[in-house]
Amino acid sequence: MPSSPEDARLSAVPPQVIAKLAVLYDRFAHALDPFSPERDEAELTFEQEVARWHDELPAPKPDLHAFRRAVISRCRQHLRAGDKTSSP
Amino acid sequence: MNASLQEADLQLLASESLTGFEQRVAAIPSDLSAPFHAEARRLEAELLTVYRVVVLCTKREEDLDKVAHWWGTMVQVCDGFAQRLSKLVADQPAAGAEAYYDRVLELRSKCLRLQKMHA
Repeated sequence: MPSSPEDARLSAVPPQVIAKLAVLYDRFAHALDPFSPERDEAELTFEQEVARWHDELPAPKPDLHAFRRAVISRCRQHLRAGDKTSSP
Repeated sequence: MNASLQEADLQLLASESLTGFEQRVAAIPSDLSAPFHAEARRLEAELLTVYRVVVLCTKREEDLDKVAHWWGTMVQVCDGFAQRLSKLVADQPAAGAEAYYDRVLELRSKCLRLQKMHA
């Protein structure tokens, strides 16, 4: 059962999209070179994709900030799950 | 035993960098330029190291509020470094330190966005 309205709305975002967003998120939020063009491009693409998915949500919908935060939370869960399966 | 880094550790790292910078800059003859430029470059590099520590801390953190707090602390650290570089740019215009000051401001801007999106 979703824990918040934002989580409920995340069900509209397919898992494969979350996986792609997680890659983008990891690339900019965890960039060890904050000045790399790839980092900035990842952030821009992430923001554009999140905004696009938010736009396509039917009303009533959470505000963009809350939706983005829920996406980030899901991305981080995805990344942690990937870390666990790849660790020896 | 809790071996995780704490905010106070980060502040200590930053404080040590700034103290060292101020001491070294104060000892440079004012008619020279290259040493001032080198100190600006070193300060920016040390800020980058602090930033990387924050990245690693946030990567392990499960609580988004704590992630936002880490980035908020990094914004404050950037403010401290920017203040020192701004003074250097004003006091030693021939040192060519503006580029490092600009990069610190750019980094601050990115850290602020990270803070806001996780809060």
